[in-house]
Amino acid sequence: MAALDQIKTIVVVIMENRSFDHVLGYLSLPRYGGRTDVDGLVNLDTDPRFASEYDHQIYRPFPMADGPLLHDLPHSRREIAVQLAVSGGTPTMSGFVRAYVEASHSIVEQPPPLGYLTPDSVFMSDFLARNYLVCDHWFAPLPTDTQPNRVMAFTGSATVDDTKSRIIPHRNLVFDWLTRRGVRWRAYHCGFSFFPLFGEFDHILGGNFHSMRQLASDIASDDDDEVPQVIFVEPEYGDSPVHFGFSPNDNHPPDPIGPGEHFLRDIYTALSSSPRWAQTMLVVIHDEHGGFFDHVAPLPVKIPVPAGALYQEPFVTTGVRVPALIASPCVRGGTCYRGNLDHTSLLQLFAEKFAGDRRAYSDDVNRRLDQGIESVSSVLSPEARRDVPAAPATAVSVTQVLRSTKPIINENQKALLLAGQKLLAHDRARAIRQFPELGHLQS
Amino acid sequence: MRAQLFVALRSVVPAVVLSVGCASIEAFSANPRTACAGDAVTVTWAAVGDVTIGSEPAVADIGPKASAGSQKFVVERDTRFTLKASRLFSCKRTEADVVVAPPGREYGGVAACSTAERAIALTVPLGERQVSSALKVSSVTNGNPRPIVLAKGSVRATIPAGGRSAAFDREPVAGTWTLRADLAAGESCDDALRAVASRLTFRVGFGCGE
Repeated sequence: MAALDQIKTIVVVIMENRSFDHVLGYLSLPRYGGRTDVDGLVNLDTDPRFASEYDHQIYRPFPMADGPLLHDLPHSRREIAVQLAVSGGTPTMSGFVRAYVEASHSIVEQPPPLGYLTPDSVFMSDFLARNYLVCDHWFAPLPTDTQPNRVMAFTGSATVDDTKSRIIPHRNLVFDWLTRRGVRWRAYHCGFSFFPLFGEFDHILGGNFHSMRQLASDIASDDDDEVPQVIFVEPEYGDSPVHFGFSPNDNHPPDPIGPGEHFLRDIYTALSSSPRWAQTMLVVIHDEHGGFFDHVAPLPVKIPVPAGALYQEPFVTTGVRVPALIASPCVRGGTCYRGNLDHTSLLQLFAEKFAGDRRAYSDDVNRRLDQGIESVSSVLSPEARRDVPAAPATAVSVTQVLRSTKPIINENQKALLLAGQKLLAHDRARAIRQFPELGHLQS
Repeated sequence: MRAQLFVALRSVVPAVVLSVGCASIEAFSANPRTACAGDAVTVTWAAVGDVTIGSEPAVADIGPKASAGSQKFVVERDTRFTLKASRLFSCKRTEADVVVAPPGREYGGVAACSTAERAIALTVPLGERQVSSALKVSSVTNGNPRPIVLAKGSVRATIPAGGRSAAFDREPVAGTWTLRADLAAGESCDDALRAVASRLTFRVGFGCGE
């Protein structure tokens, strides 16, 4: 494919815990342009698809100002089952308020899971949506929380179904796959990274992991034969056990989304101001919906429980839709792609690009492909554009509550703490050189 | 000496943390969620930790409470009740809203379809959790994309899609409502449920007093 040949660097950013309707649903509202090509929010007062029920009362989506929330929203496998509210085998997507009340004991007139953001709050996502491409049927691979969905993104295989404090069992880790094929890759991280959770510490400390602060300078100084073909850029995770020099910008509630929008602007500006932008594709997705409402039912994608998995009940659907934006000279500006995608669509893309066959990643990925999950290459346009829209200079004022990272309270925090401690035990000097914040962890 | 003290403290602190534990909230509600001015609403709570009941705007007798309990508070306007449970190392907070005499509300939920009866149907019991006994119906609107038969007690009305009915005016909102939407000729349950996104709802306009 000519367009895919033109791409030399694929940049992947995976943010945390927001649904499509919550972040980009407004694009369909008349007040914000009423895009009919986007499957977003419409007729909110009357359309039954937007009615959530709790205790026989109906709640509907409402515009929400960005800011810290009182609680994180429920998004475990069990809680998502409540949100999907399957009736007669069909997910009705009507249980988001119920799941929230059950988890938080909070019942308010405007339940946060039903809040949708507007361009004032998501200025950078809005910019990317209007100037580049929205994927409005990109689903989290699994109807569960962070770790399983990120494992799917980076391996294609669901070895865990929940988020726990542990080193995650895995196979076909994307870094191994890329390395085996001689593909140059790099990961940029703000603070501590998610990847140590896979336990492959020599990868982590082997020179491919750089601070986010080096992104722009690396792009400017890399020789052609050094430029990574795949780049992962990680935000500062709110669940990191230690923050040192960065504030959370991963979009994970209860933190606001504003810092994440600034983070995306930094990435886009660094990439698009480089002469190599003409051969670059930036993919921005979210790992899962995080408990926020979405009106589109997950796709029926059945996968058997893989060998060595830490659970018994197989998944029979994807997760909920997540916001997905693709910026590149090789996509048509201001368009929407409706094909079915999930995080394994990235692995298909790598297989197609670097092995010449989209089925070359793994049987697990192919099983999803056979059930209709497409490669990201589907979005590419044969006609490259030459203009480079400038990122908005919008100044956003948002309240962010900077909490202490102690006490460690949730499983993902515990997991990242465990990974940090193990990384220190593996090679303390190199670990601290790579992640200086680890010096502040109790070993 | 300082090092010994540090070691001693380090061995004690986990035990202290364990003994004081974390605050948690087991239950919180303020009912009815829709009230009339002057109604007494019942706030019920259960928590672990030192409990404070608050409200915005403030109502009489809020403040520190036992870790579990139930108390009536009189509301004159929209009120947000808060529960704060705190212990040495953590604090939890949650909220419950009571709305006073809103113009109306939508009720309903996920409906079931009967092939034998050729209808989608739903029962909506509205009791003291949802509505004040003083609330009266001022209008009923069918927001569903098809006609419904709405019934409560001895009153029954067929309301076209998007239409209104005055049949229930001045009836108490509290009580058991039933909704029924007949299948069209030749229509399957699956198609009918798809057409209404598996939901049936109705909107009630409210009035308090007369």
